Amino acid sequence: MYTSEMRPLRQRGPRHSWQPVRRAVAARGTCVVYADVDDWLPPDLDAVRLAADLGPDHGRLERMPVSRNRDRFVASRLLLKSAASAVLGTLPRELELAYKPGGRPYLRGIDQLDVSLSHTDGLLVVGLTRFGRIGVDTEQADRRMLELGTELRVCTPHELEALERVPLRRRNRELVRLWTLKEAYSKAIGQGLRFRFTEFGFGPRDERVRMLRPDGTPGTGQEWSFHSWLVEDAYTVSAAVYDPGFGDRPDSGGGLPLLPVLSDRS
Amino acid sequence: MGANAAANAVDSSEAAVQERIARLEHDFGDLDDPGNPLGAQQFLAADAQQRLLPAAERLLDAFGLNAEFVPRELGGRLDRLDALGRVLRAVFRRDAALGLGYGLTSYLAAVVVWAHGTPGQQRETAELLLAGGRMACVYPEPPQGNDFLRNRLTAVPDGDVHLLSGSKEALNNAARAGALVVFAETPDGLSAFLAPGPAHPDGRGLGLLPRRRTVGVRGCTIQGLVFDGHRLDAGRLIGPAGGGARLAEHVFPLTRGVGLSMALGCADTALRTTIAFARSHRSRSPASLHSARTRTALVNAFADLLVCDCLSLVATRAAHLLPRESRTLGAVAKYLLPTVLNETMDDLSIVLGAEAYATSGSYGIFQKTARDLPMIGLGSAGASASRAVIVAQLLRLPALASHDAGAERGARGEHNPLFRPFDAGLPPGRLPDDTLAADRDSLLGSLEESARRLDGEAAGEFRGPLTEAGAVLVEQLRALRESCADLAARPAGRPVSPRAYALADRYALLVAGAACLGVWLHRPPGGFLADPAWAATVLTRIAGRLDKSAVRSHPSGADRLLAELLHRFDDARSYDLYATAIGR
Repeated sequence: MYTSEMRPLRQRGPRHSWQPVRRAVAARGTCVVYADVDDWLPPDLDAVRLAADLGPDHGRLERMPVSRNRDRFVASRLLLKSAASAVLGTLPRELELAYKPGGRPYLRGIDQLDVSLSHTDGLLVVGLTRFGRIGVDTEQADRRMLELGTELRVCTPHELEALERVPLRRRNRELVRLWTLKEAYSKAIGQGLRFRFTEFGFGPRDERVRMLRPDGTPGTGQEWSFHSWLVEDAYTVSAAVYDPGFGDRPDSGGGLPLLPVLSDRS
Repeated sequence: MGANAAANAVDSSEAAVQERIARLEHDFGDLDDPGNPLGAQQFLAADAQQRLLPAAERLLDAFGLNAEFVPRELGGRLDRLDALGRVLRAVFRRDAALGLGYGLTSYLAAVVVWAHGTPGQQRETAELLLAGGRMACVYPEPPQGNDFLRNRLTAVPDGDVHLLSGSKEALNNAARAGALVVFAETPDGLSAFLAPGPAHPDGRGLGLLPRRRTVGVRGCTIQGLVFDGHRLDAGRLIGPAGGGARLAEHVFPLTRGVGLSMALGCADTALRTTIAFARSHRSRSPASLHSARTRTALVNAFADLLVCDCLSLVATRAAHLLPRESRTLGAVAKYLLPTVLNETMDDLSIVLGAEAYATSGSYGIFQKTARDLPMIGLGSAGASASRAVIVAQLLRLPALASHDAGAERGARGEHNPLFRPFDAGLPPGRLPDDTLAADRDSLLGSLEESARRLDGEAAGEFRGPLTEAGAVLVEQLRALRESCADLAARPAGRPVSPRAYALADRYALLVAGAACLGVWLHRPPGGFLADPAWAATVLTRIAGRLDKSAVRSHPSGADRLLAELLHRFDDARSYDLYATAIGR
């Protein structure tokens, strides 16, 4: 429903091919993947292999009580590491998923691929980019936000005016779109502190989405791009992508994998 | 020269550095003064017009900035790389484009000539620079290139000359360069040449491609150069034919650390701008200094700048003191600093909120700095060469002695000039010797002894946090050594495991930790650096980057750093190891 050339790709489980994701990252530099928690929940949470695949996160898993939250934690880390390793041409256990001082996840030592993670209910979303930075966020598209005062806490004056012009039947979804864009941008730049949501806004969805200052004047430049989609007819997924514009062309050396084989001499 | 005379020469050399910095800062004046022709508004306008500010170029002409890049024995002022970084910070504090276009770009080219040029080439280069000329360098392309790093030039021998062909897509200063240093493929392999540039009468025939627009450092004139059988006379070769790759490796330690050290000037301005913003807000505002998140962001940024400066100090001084290890240390600085500085900018932008995007007004310089800084690191491709150097060190690590007598001596408090910010007593910069690989790892080798010494130090309420952070570093070092042993023990012919990427990151953080520990243990008797609050905060921050779950925050350290931040703001002093008085 929202216009954008990039489309998120559904990933149906560990045995499903990563070829479409690899192709998307090679062609566009960026890919957003979504999956069902149950498709990525391993049958045996005590398996030795799981500890190797999760790495340092396995310790966190062991301290979590049995819950849907724990399921999401395991499934999302496996999805993220599987996606990253498929794109990088390695195995999940060879990558270390680490967290910045403020909590932002990243692949330690691998600056040629940035990652972001979000989940809601049973949906997992992973963003991957070989440019600068990515943030993704998802919410149920019909999560009630209007008339709870949310818009006043979330929107800039410019956005509030624009929201008033949206037909009432579409207005709540529009607010969810703005919310997820703000979350996605915050996750792309945030090391833990969150940007004040009323200090930056987004333009309407029917044109190239731009970030705007509270008065509606342009915020970020063309180095940032913003996207929103409706997936599975139920969830809004948004992504914020930063490309500093070095014209990186890792495919010039013969295509993926992005992770060059390390030599033992330099 | 007697011992006293030598000590006096050292003192006067450091005094001269400080005098030059003070003169530059004074001449540039107050960046925040709207009436200053060299103020932030003027640099913002020049950036929008995509040019370097003419008044600033005239100031640097009068100052003779180029002499900073020319060795003393050739008539310039260059004798210490750490001092070069400090002087250029005064320029980067105003404008990264000016720092690159008028400064670093010429240095990156000239240093190749200083390293391996003939006496004649060195004289020619010194004369060009001392007369105010610019230079540019087409470096070899790293394995993972991008448009800025791409280089597909060839030089074909024709009698006793070479004919240079191909194009370089993006090169800063291309049109203004009086001389070019060019790495090109020859039948003997990669070779380096010193050629007249487009601004030289002999370089007028060179083809210039249209200017490249960039998001950051918009004042830099970046454009491509086309060579179509361009004649390079005999005597233009730098070093032996086919020696280009080795040459590029040799200058690596002379460029990596110092370039990033200069860039700390940009981050310094960003932090000062954010503090000005926070101080201007009422106490109820979430942006004010009364808000915990604002204070945390400011203190974290200051701590990260101090980490970056400790690492810059060690990386630049290693070129003088540890030539066999200087490549690795330069690589660590080049690997770690761009990431840390970009994160700092993100954290600060959250304090500024909507003002982080303002292109004019009191805080407009912030968004310009945020655009400029990433250009200095040149993205992930810029880091790949540095990572390769670190991985090589990881594989060597198990074979190196884990203890190092020299480092232990230093850790015990004996004089180790590596860690002394104001010390001019350095031997001349030395090139790495190919025949001598690093036989030790002085930084990691010092870590355990330094951490032990923390335990015996009276640091009041900060003793606990200091020893806790030291213990995390020691534990992480132990784990790193184990992993490196696994890495090095792989079957012959098998590629290195991609685990080495994460290990390289841990290695870089441990080196940064050792650098901070070293600076703390070799601290001056008084002043801010003698306050354990900074060391505890900075080491805790590094430990947290290695293992987030292993550390907790220490509010009193944060309070002391915040007080120092505000004091330096009011007193107009830089946010680095030097607390330099800045133009006002």
